[in-house]
Amino acid sequence: MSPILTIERLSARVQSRGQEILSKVSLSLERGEVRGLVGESGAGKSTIGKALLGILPRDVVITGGAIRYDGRDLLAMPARERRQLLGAEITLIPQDPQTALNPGRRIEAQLTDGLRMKRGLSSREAHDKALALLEEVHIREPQRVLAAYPHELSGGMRQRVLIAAAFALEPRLVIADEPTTALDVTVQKQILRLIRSMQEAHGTAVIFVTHDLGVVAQICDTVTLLYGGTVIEAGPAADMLANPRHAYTRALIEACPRYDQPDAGLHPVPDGVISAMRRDLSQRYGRPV
Amino acid sequence: MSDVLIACEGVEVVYGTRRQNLGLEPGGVKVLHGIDLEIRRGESVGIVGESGSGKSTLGRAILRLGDVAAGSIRFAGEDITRFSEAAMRPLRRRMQMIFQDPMASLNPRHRIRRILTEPMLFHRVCAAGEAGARIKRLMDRVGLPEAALERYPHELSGGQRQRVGIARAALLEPDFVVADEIVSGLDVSTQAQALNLLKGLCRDLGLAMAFIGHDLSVIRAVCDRVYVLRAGRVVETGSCNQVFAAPSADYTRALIDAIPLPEPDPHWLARESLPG
Repeated sequence: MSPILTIERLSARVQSRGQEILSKVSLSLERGEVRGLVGESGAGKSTIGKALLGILPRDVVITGGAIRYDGRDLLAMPARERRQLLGAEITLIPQDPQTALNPGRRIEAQLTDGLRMKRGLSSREAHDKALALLEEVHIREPQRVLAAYPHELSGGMRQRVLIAAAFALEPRLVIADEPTTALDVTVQKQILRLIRSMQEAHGTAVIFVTHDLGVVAQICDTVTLLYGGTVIEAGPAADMLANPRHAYTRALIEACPRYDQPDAGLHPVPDGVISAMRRDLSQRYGRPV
Repeated sequence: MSDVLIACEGVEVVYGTRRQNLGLEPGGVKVLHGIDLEIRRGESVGIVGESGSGKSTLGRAILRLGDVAAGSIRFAGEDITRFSEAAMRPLRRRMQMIFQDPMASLNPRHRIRRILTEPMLFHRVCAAGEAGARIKRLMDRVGLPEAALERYPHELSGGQRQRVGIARAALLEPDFVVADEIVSGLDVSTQAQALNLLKGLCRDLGLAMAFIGHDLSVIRAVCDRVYVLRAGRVVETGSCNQVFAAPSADYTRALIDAIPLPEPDPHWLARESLPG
């Protein structure tokens, strides 16, 4: 079966600073696959997610490459056609459940927008579907939550609502942009479990943007590790964590504190590893970085 | 001199009350229910729990940044529970705080030099002429370039800002520091640098520390002992070695098990952490 998504040699630049932030990034995603997009801040992982969703900041332009969704190039497609896909076939689970919901609208209104506009459901049908979705994400008292405003819900509840919204239109690709960084570890685990079970139940492919290798290990099938807008290493998650090929991958693993190995972790990435990667980057970009 | 630096006994904190002439008015929500806690000189103690467990409230209570409704807090043998602001002031230098969000705790309109100098002069740690040299030495120690002194907080990276927060506390040569969630939101490599720095400073300066966090892997890496809080009560305490090897409370076990290790475990996701 052909992949649902292929990114081919994608490059992007911040126009005002003339600075490249992605250089020839390639990856592909099979149907039903969960791929971790991993890196430290500035690695370009969120930029790729935003490029997929067509929500790059105005100042960032794509300078080369293609994003093929189901065989069609998202970048070359007429804006109108692309809008049909976004929010319906390709959706987002945002990072911060505190700011992603409109504080002035009830949950029901926000959860049913897409169902009514993109699927043409009546308010009644949309209401029933929204109720079923909230049950699917294990929200107790879904009736009460539908009538609530975001501030009346906890962070974990809001993230559940956003997951319900992301899966509402039966998307084929979900971009999860660090969806658990703002949550407690116990809530994080519930949310990860929920994303995985929704993904498995619906056969959805997921791009999981994160900086946490622990999260990658437990939820991702495959990983693409980025540094400075380039791919450092990619492959099945279990292989990469057990047998990292690149010195940077190994260093990142060794920087993670581990409760089961108190003397292992906490080794910052060695300067030598960083400077070697920077040398490669400056060659690639043709300027010092 | 006893080597117990901080001793809390039965500390209760109630939110939503107002001060009256004779103490606090009744009512409000109790968020700490009789906490007993001890920190020795030079010891790093972890305080861990989920949001709402009262861990930050406890950190603030120890520093007397919030009112204590019942119980007592002793600092270096002195009962500071009912100390007035004026009585606390001479102690303030000796008990410092490193905040979670350096963007919110460093004045955005001051350059780093001023942010670091002013507390030293306020607490008369040294003469004005000597402050510059001390700052220079510490900048080196925390791995910040001297040029950063002329920058504003927003011009630094998150990791650098956090090191400014650490430097600001260390410059006052305190006996005790509360570090409240200081690495959440940092990259693992930056987090490792900040934690190593903090560990080194505690060792070199003989600093005692209350390290507040929700990530038990981080606590394990930094602390000697740990207190596990849930809904304003200590549910477990002990040395890290003992608590991690054989947690006695289900809640502690759940917190530990909720941490994803960078090593695939096919059963991890399905394992129920907290019954109910």
